[in-house]
Amino acid sequence: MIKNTYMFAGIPVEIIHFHPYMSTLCSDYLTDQVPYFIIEITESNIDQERKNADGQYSDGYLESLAFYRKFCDRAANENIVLLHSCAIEFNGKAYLFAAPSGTGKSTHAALWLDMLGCRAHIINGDKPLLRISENSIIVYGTPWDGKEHWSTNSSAPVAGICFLSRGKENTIRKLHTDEVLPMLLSQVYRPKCAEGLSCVMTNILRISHSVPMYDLSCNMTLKAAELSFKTMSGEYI
Amino acid sequence: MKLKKGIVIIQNGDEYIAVAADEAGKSFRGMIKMNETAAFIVEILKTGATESEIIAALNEKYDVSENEALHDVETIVSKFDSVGLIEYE
Repeated sequence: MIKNTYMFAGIPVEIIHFHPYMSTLCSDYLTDQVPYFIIEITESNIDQERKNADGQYSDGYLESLAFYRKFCDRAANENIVLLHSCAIEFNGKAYLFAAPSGTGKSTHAALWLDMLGCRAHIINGDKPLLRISENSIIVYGTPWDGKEHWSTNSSAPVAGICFLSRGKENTIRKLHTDEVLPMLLSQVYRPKCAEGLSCVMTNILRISHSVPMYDLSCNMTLKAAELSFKTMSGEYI
Repeated sequence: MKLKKGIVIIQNGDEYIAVAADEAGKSFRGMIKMNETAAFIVEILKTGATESEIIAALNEKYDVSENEALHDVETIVSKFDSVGLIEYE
């Protein structure tokens, strides 16, 4: 068995597992702090991930998915939510692009990087964690970072969330709190148990009341990134 | 007839939102918006109360007639049934 403590979204967690893949994946997130809780991976957790998976994957990779699932189930109680999105940091603030897989989150984020150069960086390209507290909502990088493997062990307060869809023209509009809830619900990790889902719902409501949200229909030109950047940040390039 | 296990109700200002975890979450991934009375009915349905027990509870809390209460319960049950959140023994 392998045993290590990592810090995800400000929460130190000990993990007891089998495969070295996990240790390599999470090496940037090691911590000396005393863990809040312990997660132990079992063979049946890995088997369950194999059943869920849509292809052939190594046990090490499946183990890392099993861990992230168990972590998100447990961390829901600590006001931590996984939002399926690409989180970009610019000027000390984070802007998140959420959409179902294959919509073009990464393409749009790449346009931001083209436009802003080294002034912007990606916190996480696919599955960042949001930590919700009384006076802040902070997004944290994680090693679960999608096809492009864009991630850094960094964090920033969330200044905007943009739901992305593909269109011929580029249009953006601010979303009303009521419209946002089902959209957020469709892109967060949902704990299986009622207690966990209840915590996630409470936090989705808090996000919807305090973070500006937008609906962006866009193509893949630089104009799309200019529009979302100006609207969300209120700054000029 | 009973509600599937795992229905969660959250209050958001004046309105209430139902979402589904556990067994209920397997068939329903969306959300249902409700008013206070509807949320009250769902909370009682979750305890496995019979229709007449629910009507009595509504009567006591909101001072509604038996007919109105019956109508409210039937509306909720049919809404939840339409999204697969009711199970029949």
